[in-house]
Amino acid sequence: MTQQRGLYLYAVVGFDTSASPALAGDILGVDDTAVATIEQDGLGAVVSEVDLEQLAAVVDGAEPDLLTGLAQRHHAVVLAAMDAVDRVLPLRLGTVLTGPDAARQFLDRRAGELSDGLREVDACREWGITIGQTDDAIPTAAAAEGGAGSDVGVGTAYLRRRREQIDEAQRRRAAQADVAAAVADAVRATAVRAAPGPRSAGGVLLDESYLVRRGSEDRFLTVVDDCGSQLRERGLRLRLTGPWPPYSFVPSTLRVVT
Amino acid sequence: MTAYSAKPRPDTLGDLLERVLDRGVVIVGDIVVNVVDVELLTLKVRLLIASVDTAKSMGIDWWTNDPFLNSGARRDQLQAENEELRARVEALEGRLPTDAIDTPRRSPAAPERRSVE
Repeated sequence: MTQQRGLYLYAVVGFDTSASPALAGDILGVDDTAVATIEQDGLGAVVSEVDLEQLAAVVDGAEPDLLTGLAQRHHAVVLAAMDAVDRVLPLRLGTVLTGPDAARQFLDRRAGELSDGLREVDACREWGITIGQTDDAIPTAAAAEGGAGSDVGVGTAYLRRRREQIDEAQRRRAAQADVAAAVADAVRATAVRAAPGPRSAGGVLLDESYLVRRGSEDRFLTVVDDCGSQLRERGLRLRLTGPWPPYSFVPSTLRVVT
Repeated sequence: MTAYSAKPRPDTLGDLLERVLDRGVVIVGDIVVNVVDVELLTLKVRLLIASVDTAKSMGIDWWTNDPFLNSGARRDQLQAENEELRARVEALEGRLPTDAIDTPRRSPAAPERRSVE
């Protein structure tokens, strides 16, 4: 017979005091069950019981709102943990352990990596910045010069104008890439660490996540403001999201075999 | 003008999905119940993010109210992402046993029949 219930794991937290601070009151887990903290030598696993069949249905089923519900619950519990303690390592969405003993084993066997990871994100929050084109791109000089009449274009003149437009667009893209890189440098200087953002693979000039100390957030946001103004003048748009739990700044894979 | 710092606007559902997706500590080993296929989950969430129509049908109002999601730029990004994801779905399906796939797969074109009379 297969196991029916498991322990959904949201985050690992670190305590300075011997007693774990209570998570914000009535927070409920992915299955509408109570969230609890399993403690082990100054580390805590934030967990709730979960019905395995139900969770499997969330992922296998075609209902998108079940999936977003899972993500939102996961996030809400991690946020509650962030409110309660300074050191929080979020777990991967959908992590389920066999039970409380497994959670204790995990905290025990990986105490070193977890403590190191917690120290690195101590009193820090994550922010995301993307830089992309604004919807109304600035018209290129060449395009602006071409009058309505000449637009109809006769052979060579048309091709030459087209060439100029392409060159101009290339110059503009290169300049924009430089500006985006300069922004990234300026912002990184106020952050503890930087990591590639979720969309860094394509379509945007910059997508980075920043781990920022709570005490440095004012400085970070001032720099972001300044950069945003510079970018607008160049037809670019800076978008800031956050503050997030340090999703992008955690140890990646931890193996525990009993 | 403090367009960004004054009051960061609430993050959209799309932002949230992107942020929690394939991030966070991964535990490997026999203490983990593999009830969720992480790669499948990741893929599903990505497709979800990529589909504005699906998102609208979810009826979460702060999602539909967000002007960012209605911009053309976003849609272009989504299209590019959609294409990338389709490629990844195909790659993933290729790794499954063929009987586990219920969607039609592109098979190599049948050799053209030529009559040589």
